Amino acid sequence: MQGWHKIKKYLVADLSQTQNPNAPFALRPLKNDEDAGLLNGQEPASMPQIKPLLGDNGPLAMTSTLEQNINWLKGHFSYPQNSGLVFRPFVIEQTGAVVQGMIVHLESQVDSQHLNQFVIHPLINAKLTEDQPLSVDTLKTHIVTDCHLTSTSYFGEIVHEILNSSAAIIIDGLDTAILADVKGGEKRGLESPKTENVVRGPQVGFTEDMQTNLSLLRGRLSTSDLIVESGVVGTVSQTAVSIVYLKSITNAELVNEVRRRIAAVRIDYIGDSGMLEQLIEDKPYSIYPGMLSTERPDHTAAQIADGYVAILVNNSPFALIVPTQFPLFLQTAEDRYLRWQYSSFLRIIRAIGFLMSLYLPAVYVAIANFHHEMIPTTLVLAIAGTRESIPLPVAAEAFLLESMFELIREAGVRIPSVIGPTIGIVGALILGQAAVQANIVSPIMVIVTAATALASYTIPNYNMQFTTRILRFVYLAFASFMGLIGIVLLSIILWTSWMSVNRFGVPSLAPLTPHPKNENTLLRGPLQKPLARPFSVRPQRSKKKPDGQDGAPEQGGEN
Amino acid sequence: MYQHHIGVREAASIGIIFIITKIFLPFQRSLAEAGGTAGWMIAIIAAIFCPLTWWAIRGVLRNAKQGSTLIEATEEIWGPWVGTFLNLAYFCFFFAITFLVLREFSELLSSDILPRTPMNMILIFLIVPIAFVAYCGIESLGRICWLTIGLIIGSVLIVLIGGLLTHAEPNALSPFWGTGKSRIMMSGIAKSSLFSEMLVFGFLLPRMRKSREWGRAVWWCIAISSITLFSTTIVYLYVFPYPTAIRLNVPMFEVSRLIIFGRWIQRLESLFLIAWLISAALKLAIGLYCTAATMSQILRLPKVQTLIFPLTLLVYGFALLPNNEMTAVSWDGGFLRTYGSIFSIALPMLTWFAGIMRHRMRRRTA
Repeated sequence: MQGWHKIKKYLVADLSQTQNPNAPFALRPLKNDEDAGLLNGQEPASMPQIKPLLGDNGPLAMTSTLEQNINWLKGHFSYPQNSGLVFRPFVIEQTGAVVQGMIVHLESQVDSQHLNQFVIHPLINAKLTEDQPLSVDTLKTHIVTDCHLTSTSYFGEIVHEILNSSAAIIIDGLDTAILADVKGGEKRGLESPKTENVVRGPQVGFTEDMQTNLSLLRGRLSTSDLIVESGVVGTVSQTAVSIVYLKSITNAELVNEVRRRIAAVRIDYIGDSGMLEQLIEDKPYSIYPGMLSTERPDHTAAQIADGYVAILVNNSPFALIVPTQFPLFLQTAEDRYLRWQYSSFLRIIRAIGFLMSLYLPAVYVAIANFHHEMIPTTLVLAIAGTRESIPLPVAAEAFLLESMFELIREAGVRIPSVIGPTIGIVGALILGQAAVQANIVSPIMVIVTAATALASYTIPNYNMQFTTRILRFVYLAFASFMGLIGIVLLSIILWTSWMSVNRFGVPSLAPLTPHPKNENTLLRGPLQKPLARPFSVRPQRSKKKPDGQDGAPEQGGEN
Repeated sequence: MYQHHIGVREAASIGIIFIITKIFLPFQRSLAEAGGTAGWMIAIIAAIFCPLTWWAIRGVLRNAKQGSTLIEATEEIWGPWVGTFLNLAYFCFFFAITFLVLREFSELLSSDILPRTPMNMILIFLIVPIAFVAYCGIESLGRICWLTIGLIIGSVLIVLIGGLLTHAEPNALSPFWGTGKSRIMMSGIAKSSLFSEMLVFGFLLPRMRKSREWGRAVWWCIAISSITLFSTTIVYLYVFPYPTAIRLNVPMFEVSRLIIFGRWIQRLESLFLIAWLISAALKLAIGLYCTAATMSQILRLPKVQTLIFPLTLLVYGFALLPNNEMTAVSWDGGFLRTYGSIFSIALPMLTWFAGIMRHRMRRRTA
C-alpha cells in the first residue's frame, strides 16, 4: 500500500483548502524601497547553534571547585579511555599562597608553541599581589594578554570550544573558564583550483579551512555590508557552516530561506558542502543540479556582489551559491575578466557543447536508423560503406562506445594521478582503433563519441557534466525506439520538468524563461554599458553602478 | 499562499502556439478548398474578426470579480445553472480540440514519419508528454512555450523562404478572387473560428501581474498568429498550384520536402519535424490543461492537476473514435472550424452583454 500513497495525489482530488506547509518557496519582487529587508510574512529563521548541555536546573554550569569541574570533563570525554584529551596543571603565585589551575585541550588540535609561549608561560610566571584578586578580568587583562580569550560558565560551550581546538583554562575558586584560541593542526596552503582552471584571472582556490576561505572572500569584498552568519550542522560532526551575503543588496527573503533550510537539516554527519547541498536543495529526485558549487573565491565574491548567497562549510574547499539558474552552470569566473566579445564567444561554445553532449549520439542514431533522407546522398553512402561489415545495429554501437568511454573516464579518475592521463589516452586510442579494426564499431560512431566527450568537457560545472552523461543514455534509448520523435518528446518532458522547478524561489531556467530584461545570459555586454544585477534573484539594489554613472533602470523585469 | 504569475511573453507564446499549430495540419488545404487561389484572403478576413474574441473576453473579465477566470466570470454573471451550462460548452470545445488534434497528428506521424509503428503506440507516446506538461501547470506551459516559440517560428520562416526559393509560380494566385468575392467573404466570416483558440486568454489574463499588460500579450499573439496563418497559406498557394493544393495531406510538410539549398541542404522535413512535433505537443498540452481547468472550476476543485490523469484517459479514448484520418479531419473542419466562433465569439459576447446588463440593473436597484 505504500506505493498507493505515492500515486494517490495524481489520481484522487485533494479537496483540502488548507495551505500546504511544503509549498514551494518563491521570491517576490520588491515593490518599493520599504519592502527591502522585509520578510513578507515569512517566519524569521536563524542559523542553527550548538544546543547547551542541560542539567536539572537549565544549562549545565561550572562550580567553583577545580576538582569537580575537571572530574566532570574527564567523565564527559571518557578520560583516560579517550587518550586525546590533555590536562596540564599549573599554579599561579599570589602573595602568601598559590592558586591551582588546569589547562585542558585536545592533543594535536592546538598550536603547542603558541599555547606554551602565550598562555602557559604567562600563567606560570604570574605573581599576583594581595590586593589583586584572582578573577577572569585579571587573567584577561594582566596575565594572558597576547592571545584571543573568551570566557563561559557553561560546560556545553567549554566542550564545544575544546573540540574546536581551543584550550580551556580552569582555575580553582572560579566558576568561569577562560577559552584561549590556540588553533593548530595541519592546514593545506593556498593552491590553484583543481576543477576550475582559468587562463586569465586569480589562480587561488578555497581550502578546507573555513577561516581561510572567509578571509579570501573578505579580501575581495571589503565592505561592512558583508555579513557572515555562522552556525553548526550535524549532531556528531558539529560542522561549522557560514552563509555570506551583502546586507544592502541580497534579498532578505532569500537569506531567511537559506537560514531556514540549514536550520531544518537533521543529520549526524556533514563531511563536505556536497552533503549540505543535497540536504537543502529543492528537488532531491531531480537529475539537474540545484546549486552551483565553486572552489574559486573570485567567482563566489562576484556572485555575492550580484545578490546571491554563498554557503561555506568547514572542511570543504567548495562554496555553494544559491539560488542557481541554468545559465550560471555554463559560465566561468573568467567570463568577467575577458573582453565581452571573447567571453560571449566562449559562452556560445559552451552552450553548443552542452547541447552536443546531451543530444549528439542520440541524434546520430535517430538519423541513421529512422531519417536517412536527412543525410546527403554521398554521406549516406559513406556511412553505409563503413557500416557494411559491422554486425551490430547503430544503437548498440552507440551504447557500447558510450559505455566504454564512461569506463575509461571513471578509470582515469581513480587510477593514480601519474598514470591516469596516460591510461585515458591509451585506453581511448587503442580501444577505439582496435574496435574499428575488429569491425565492432564504425569509424563514424567513434568520431561521434569522441566529439560528444569533448563537448561534455566544455561544461564548466562538474554536477552538470554528470547530468548530461546520464541523460545521454536516456536520449539514446528513446532515439533507438522512436528516432527524432522519441528525442523531441523526451526533451519536452525533461525540459518542462526542469523549468517547472524553482530553486530557492527562482525559476531554474531564468533568465531564459521567464525572461526578465537586463540580464546577461548567453551573451555578455560591454562593462561600459548600464549594468544591472540579475533581476531573477530580486536584489534590493538593482543598479551595479552608483548613481551619476550609467544607471540601469530599477527592477527592469516583468514577472 | 503566493500566487504564481506569467509574463507577457509567456502568455503571448501560449496563445500563438495554441493558434498556429494548425498550420502543420491540412489547414492550408482547407482554405484552398474554400477559397481556391484566394484562400489567403480567408485568413486575412478571419484575422480581422479575431479581436472580437479578445474584446469579449476582456469585457467578461472586467464585469466579474478581480482575478476571476473566464469560467468563474461566466458563472458569476449568468448564475450557477446557466453559467455551468455555458461552461460545459467551453469544456466540450477544449476537449474536442484536444482529442481531434491528437488523432490528426498521430495519423500524420503514422502515415508520413513512422509508417511501421502502430497508431496506438504513437498515440500513447504523444499523450504521455502532453499529460506531463499539462500536469506541470500553466506557469511551466508558459515557460516552455516561450523557450520554443523562436524555434517554431524560425523553422516555419526557413520552410517558407526555402519553399519560395525552390519552387514558386508567379501566376499561382490567379484568378485573384478565387471561388468568388461573396464566397470568400462568407468563408472568411465562418473561418474566424481559426482564432477560436484565443479563448485560452480567459485563463491566462487573470494570471498576469498587471491588467494593463493584457492588451500587449493579446495583440502580440494576434499579430504573429495572423501573419503566420496568412503567410503559410499564401506561400503554399505560390508553391503548389491550385489543383495540387487541394489534394495534399500535410501542406507544410510537403513544402519542406521540396527544399533544396545546394547539394548539402535539402529535404529538411526531418528538421522541420522537430518544430512541428514540439508545436503539436504543446498545443495538445495547452488544450488538455484548459479542459482540466474548465472542469475543475465548474466542479470548484481547488486544484487542476487531479483531473489531468482521468481526462488524459478520456482524450485517448475519444481520439480513437474517428474511423480514420479523414473522419478526424472532417470532424475538425465540419465542427470546430465551422461552429468554433460560437464558442469563441458568440458566447463571450453574450456573457459580456449580460454582465453589462447586470451591472446596470444593480445600479438602478442600489
